[in-house]
Amino acid sequence: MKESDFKLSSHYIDILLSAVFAVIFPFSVWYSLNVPGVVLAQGVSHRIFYFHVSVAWVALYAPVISSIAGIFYLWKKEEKWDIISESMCRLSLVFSIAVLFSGPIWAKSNWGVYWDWTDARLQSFFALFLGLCGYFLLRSLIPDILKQAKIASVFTVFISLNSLLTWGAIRWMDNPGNHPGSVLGKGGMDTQMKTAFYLNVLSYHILFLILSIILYRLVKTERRNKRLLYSES
Amino acid sequence: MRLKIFHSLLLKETLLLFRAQNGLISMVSLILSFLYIFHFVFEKDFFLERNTIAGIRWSLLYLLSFIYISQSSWEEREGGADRIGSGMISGTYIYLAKTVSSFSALTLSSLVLNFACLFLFEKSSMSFNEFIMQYALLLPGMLSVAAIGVCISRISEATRLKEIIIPVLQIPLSLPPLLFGMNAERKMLASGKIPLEGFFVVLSFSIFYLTLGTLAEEILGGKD
Repeated sequence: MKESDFKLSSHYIDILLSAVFAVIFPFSVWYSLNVPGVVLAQGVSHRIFYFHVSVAWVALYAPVISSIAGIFYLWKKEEKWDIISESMCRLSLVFSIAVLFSGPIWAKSNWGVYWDWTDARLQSFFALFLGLCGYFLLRSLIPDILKQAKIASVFTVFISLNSLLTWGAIRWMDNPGNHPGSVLGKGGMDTQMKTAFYLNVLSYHILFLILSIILYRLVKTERRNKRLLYSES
Repeated sequence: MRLKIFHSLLLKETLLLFRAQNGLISMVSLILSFLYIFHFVFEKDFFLERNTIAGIRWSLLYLLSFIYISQSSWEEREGGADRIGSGMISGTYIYLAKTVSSFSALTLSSLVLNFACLFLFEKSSMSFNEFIMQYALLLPGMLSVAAIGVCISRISEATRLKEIIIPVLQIPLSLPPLLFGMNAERKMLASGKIPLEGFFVVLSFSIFYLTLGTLAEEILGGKD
């Protein structure tokens, strides 16, 4: 495939994804706010769950993709894998900030507190967030670009472990705290709730895909600019 | 020959840990001060529960691991031994020797900590069996904290901030073994027998971190 053909097809993919997102996202937000009934025990605040869980899924598996890309970088030594790895970590950080904001809003109305320090899921997620912050701090503090990519790739493997532990915190701990269990294992959602939930999951995954493509290009351009600056100076 | 190199490295690392700024004495004072604060604040009104004492013990060891690892890597860098050593010896040997010495220092600290707890906290006494079970959980927990800490300290050498960055990177990675270790000890105190599941989780952490740390040394070619 020629480079111009590739650019053209990626242009069509951008338009297609954006169009699908523009239709599905507003609809899923409207649907989850209006159609499913209110859970009486939790009140209206339960609707935040449709946003919170979908975003948390992305925040949890982006570090795993990042670590796989990191391993590929260490193996193949091709820059594109490091760019993918960095883009995934950036995305995971953004989505985890969204989780850390939406969770306490729900927690305040249900538990009476914004944060519960005895909850295993909350602590492990916070550790994941700190790990992602550490990743960017580490990258920014290593001047040598090659060293930076190598060390960051190793570090993503450690972060992905945190992500797996966050997923398993409510499954493997005997007394994980107040955090609700897995939504997939409960079977307590009615059809409308399930539809709202999976619509949101779909729309946030499309958003994730769009942002991944944009970030990949952004990181690539940033690096090209940096190299140009170095070569000029 | 390899064993001889490793032995010399281990000796050097241990000396480095304990000679630095009166290392051993300052660590014992730090442990006693912390425990005395808890004793002074709580034990006068009510006796601290065994779960709480176990939590204090894990947290203090966690804190000590930062100090041991950062202090040792700072001393080594300032003395120039790091640069000289890495030119002649494989990074993996240096990593393993540092991990073993930090782990030994943490084990020694935990013994001091347990001994001090006996005097300061009423409910901290335990039978010999409980002592063995406690160490069956503490040892792999401390090994994982030491393994990840040393790996981070080796990585931090490539950064501009050097060992200042160690706690920032170590906290998120050493929190999981700490949480799972404390959870296992809580179960052990409640049931009176060692929770095998918890023990294997903490053991897996130590094996994972040690393996990945060694692998990182091989991949990054020493401290690079």
